[in-house]
Amino acid sequence: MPKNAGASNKPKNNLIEYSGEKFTLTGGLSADKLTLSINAESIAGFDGKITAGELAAVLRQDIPHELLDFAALAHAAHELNAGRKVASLAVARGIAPVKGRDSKLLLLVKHLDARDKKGEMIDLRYAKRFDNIKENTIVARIYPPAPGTDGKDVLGNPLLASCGAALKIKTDNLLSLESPRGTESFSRIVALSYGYLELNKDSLSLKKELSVAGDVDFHTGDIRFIGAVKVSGSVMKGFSVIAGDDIRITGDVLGGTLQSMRGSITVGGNIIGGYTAELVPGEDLAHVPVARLTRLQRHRDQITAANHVRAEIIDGASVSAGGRIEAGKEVRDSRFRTHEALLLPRGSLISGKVHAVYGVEAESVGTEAGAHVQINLCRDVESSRSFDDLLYQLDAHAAAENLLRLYLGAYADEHAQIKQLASRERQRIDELRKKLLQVQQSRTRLEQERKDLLSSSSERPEAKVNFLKVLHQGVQVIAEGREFCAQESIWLKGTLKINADSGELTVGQYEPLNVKEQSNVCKSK
Amino acid sequence: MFANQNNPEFNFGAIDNRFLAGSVGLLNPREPLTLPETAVLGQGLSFLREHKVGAVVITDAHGKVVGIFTERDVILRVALQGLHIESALKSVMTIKPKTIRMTTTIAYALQLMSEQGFRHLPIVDDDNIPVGIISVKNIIDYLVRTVTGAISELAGSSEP
Repeated sequence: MPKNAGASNKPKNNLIEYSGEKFTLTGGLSADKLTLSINAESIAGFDGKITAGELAAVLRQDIPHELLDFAALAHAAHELNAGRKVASLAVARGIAPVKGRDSKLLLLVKHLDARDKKGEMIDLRYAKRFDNIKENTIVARIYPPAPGTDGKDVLGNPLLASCGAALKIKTDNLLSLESPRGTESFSRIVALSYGYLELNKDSLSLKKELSVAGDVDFHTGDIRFIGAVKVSGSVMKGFSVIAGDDIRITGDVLGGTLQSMRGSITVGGNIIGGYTAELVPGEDLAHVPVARLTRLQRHRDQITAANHVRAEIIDGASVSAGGRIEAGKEVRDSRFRTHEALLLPRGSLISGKVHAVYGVEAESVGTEAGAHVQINLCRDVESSRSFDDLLYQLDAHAAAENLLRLYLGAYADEHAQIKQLASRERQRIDELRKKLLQVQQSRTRLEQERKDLLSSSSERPEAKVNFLKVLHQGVQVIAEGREFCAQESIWLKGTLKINADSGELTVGQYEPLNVKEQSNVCKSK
Repeated sequence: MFANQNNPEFNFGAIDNRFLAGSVGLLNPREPLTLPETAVLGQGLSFLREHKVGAVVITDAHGKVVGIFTERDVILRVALQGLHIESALKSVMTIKPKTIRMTTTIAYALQLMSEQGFRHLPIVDDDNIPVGIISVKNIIDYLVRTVTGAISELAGSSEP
């Protein structure tokens, strides 16, 4: 049953007025000209049949045939034949124009919403995962507005459709808008650098620094970001911050791990080691059982930076830096590897192990109680972790070879006697001898690798150990195969270096380190 | 000590297992080829052949995804079934296929493909309009490019 015209389609004006032998009919358009509604009644006294075709014939003079609703006309005819009037019945419909689809922004990567920020800081308790964007990554597509589909009114006149709305999106200078390529229907937004994508209402920007509100802990999880990271709190034990660029921690690093692939690490507070819980306070590395020390030493460096590392206090940590390591107050029970120098111009190197290319400068080195300090003035190669790993492997090979020789006894070198053994024993000894041979061959390869690395190292600068107040007894300094161990505390401002004449490590007048430049040490809290 | 200090991609690529947590959009999926749901089987087969693709997305009058027709459908539902090329494509396509978004993780996409046996996944926007399609091959190609790139960077580094 066709629907009657609704109130909104009541004829506004009579487009059609017909009076014939069988019926009278008036038709009017809706306000939007998409519907024609009719009022009709049969002529009094007419007994014949009125057909839908006759009604259509009246309308066709003004209305295109394809827009007529013949079901509605059939219903009208039925009503008229039943002696009833037809009122406001929609019998023809136009085709409404369809507005084109608006231009659309489609993000290809997970972004950070500016609403998850507190000022410039991101609260990672609420912000969702975001993607690390690399240079030349296509981060978004902009689909252009689509043209609409034209319609026609009930009289057959065209009704033009409006095109979709264009998108207004602003991008910063680290994002580039590129035209569609080939058969693509969209423009691309390409990252010109690296970072994370931030969407702020109608603005897209690429941020190279991630500022984190609060601590790095169970709420935030580990942080890995391709750019720089700034943390307004501390980094808690068991959590890590790995960044492509600089890392700045306002608070402390309490057993957490930091790694900067290209930048520096600056800690406003202290760096407390991740593995010192296993070290008994006061225990120095020289007296820790080898097996335990080996396990500790195999622990990944807690703080690793391509450039410099700065903190107030460094306690029980392992730190590697491509640049210098600076501390404001003191360092103790820690292990340092630096391609430049360890600097504490107003602080104390209390205990620990240092590998430095340019040397060490501290107000005081060691303690009166003779806390263990070992300073290795080495080449750049020797200060690296991979060289350290190589030495560890050589030690492990030597230990393995010793053990095998111990077990083999005389059979290690004298083969003839093996033939006198029973077959089962002979087989066992043969296996052990094969193992010994493998270990020796492997050790030879490692030795060669060590020699190759050392020969590839840069020319050594003149390395020094500078003490601005005191060098305590028990401090051990190793350089070029020579060793110096202070027999008593030396209370003066001086420099320990290799004497050009004697070739030995001697204490002399203070000379500044040869480090290229020295930055200001972080200020005390 | 610090390999590739100048390479911003070091340790943020495929060597790092968190690479799989990245969005599928990072693979820059191509726009999907589509056919209307009124298309017939012959059109579907020609389409796959002409464009040398393994899948075509089927959309309704509003452009929304209603199905997918893949080479697997050809094998399982078309071949040896005696169907006429004028048969409705709707009768042989996969109806209401599983879809993902651009920000779906690569790991989840791989899991869907592995556990549910999909070889292609249409990517849709908020309006369920197809905006991309990825296949197992796309992910493998991306992995190979990224991993070999990262490995060659490591091998060529001047780490002391």
